[in-house]
Amino acid sequence: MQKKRITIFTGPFGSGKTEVAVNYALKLNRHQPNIGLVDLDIVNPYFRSRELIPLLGKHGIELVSTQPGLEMADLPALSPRIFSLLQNKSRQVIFDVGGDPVGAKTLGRFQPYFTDNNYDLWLVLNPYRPGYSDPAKIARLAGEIENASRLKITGLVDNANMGKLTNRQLRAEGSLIVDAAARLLNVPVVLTTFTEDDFFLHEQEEEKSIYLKLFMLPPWEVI
Amino acid sequence: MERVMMKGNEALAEGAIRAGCRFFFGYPITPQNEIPEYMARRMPEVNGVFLQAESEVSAINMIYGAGGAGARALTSSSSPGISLKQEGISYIAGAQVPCVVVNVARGGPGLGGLNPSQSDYFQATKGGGHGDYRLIVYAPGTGQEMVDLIGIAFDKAEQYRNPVMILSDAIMGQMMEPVILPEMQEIPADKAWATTGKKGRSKPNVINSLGIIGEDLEKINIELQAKYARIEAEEVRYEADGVDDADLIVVAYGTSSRVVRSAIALLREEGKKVGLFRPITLWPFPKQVLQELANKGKKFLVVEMSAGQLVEDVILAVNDRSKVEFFGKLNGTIPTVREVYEEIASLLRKGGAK
Repeated sequence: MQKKRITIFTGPFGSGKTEVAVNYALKLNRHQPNIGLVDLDIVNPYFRSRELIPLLGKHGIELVSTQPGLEMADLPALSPRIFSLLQNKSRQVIFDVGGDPVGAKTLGRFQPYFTDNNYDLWLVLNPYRPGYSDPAKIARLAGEIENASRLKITGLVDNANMGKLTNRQLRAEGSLIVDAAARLLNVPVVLTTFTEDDFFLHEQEEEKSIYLKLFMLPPWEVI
Repeated sequence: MERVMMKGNEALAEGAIRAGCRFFFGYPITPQNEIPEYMARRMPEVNGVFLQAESEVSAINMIYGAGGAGARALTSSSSPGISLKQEGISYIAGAQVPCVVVNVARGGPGLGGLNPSQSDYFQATKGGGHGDYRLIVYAPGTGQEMVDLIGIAFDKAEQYRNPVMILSDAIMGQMMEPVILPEMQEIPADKAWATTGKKGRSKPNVINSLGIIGEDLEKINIELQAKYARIEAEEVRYEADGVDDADLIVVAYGTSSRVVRSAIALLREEGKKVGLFRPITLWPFPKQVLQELANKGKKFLVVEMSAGQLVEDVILAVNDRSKVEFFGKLNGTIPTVREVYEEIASLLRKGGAK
């Protein structure tokens, strides 16, 4: 699959967009320098990629986020750097968007920069989050996100997990729900996540799976 | 058995609905907004009412009305918003109306910040409003406890006809964990004391907190104090983990207790004898258990995200029988596992404990 210049991660609140976006940036960064990661979440200031500026910087990834010092200000302010990334056609850009259609609405602001073939809009899903065990409901949400962002969803990211209780069976059962939603929406499942080798679904091609190193940990898990 | 991944705030909201709560009145404030957002979506599905009031003061008085009419009613807010609700909470306590109030605490004083905090402990446990009253206060320590304790909170509120508070914080509200949801309950509002219509009784039920004649007001207060004594005797909850052989017992609740637990796990791996004592009810406070532990010669360390509030209750409980050390983080920061580990290790060295 040809990689588009812009990859946008969207999805319901708490589906794992930030972990996926950060890990995807690190994965792309192995083969491609000069990646820009945009933290576009103006819905909620907790567990945000903006906490990772030093780590990403070390890898040469530019994180564009709220102005330093205002990370916890709870202000819906967007950085002008986002335009710079969008206008520079040599930059690979990843967007980490806020949850739900509310979060996706922010994308509308940048609509003139998105053309049919320069972006992918990927919906990150965890069917173990309340309300998303039903493919029809996922499809409905996808429609709402498309309306709010004025963009087309081009793929689903299967992030089925039950936190520390995840096992191979839960992983596989969750994937069935995401697959069913993908069929309803007529888009492919573009990425499947795993956090331990045991959860790696071997039927997935290497290209379509992504190992998640979890960064957004609560303070008691940071040892 | 229904298991889902939920943020703490969502777990509280769904837990309330499963416990038969059908009325939510609130006003937005970070970091509790997931609760009203969840309720706005969910209440219509269970024929319940979600209403965004024009202020916190309105919301708490709507709770007063719904609770007085016998319904299970919930309001939630965060520190500054909870301060605004205090007058209403005092009225509700005085009128002996059941309800549940959630405080997803943030940093203070004043407008403060959005970081988690535990500096509303005094306000929650010592009576934030006027008059001699008490709230039952639960401090959940996991996602599962969010669901379980809010169910218990509604039961106890009705049993004692008393407001109950859930004291959470920004991190407890935002962290995500797997939770098992209980079955849905439908609770009838038709209580013998509630204002649901006279229905042939000789006297109407009246809900108010007025005691205009001195002796009447005293009688109300005697009744309230007797009730609080019953609650203190019956409703204490706590978790004591590894305290029996411990040289040092660390006392903490909520977010701090999670950090302390991780630090203790590291120390136990090194063979250090450290235990965790976690009050689950902040009022009634588990003072008797702490007193017994102090009598056995245990030393204590209190860890909290405040300048020292819980520590006062521990000192009162221990009553000079043992030493109580304190490690606090002021609002805006969270103690790290490493900091708590170092603090405990240094106390153990000083105390000559192995």
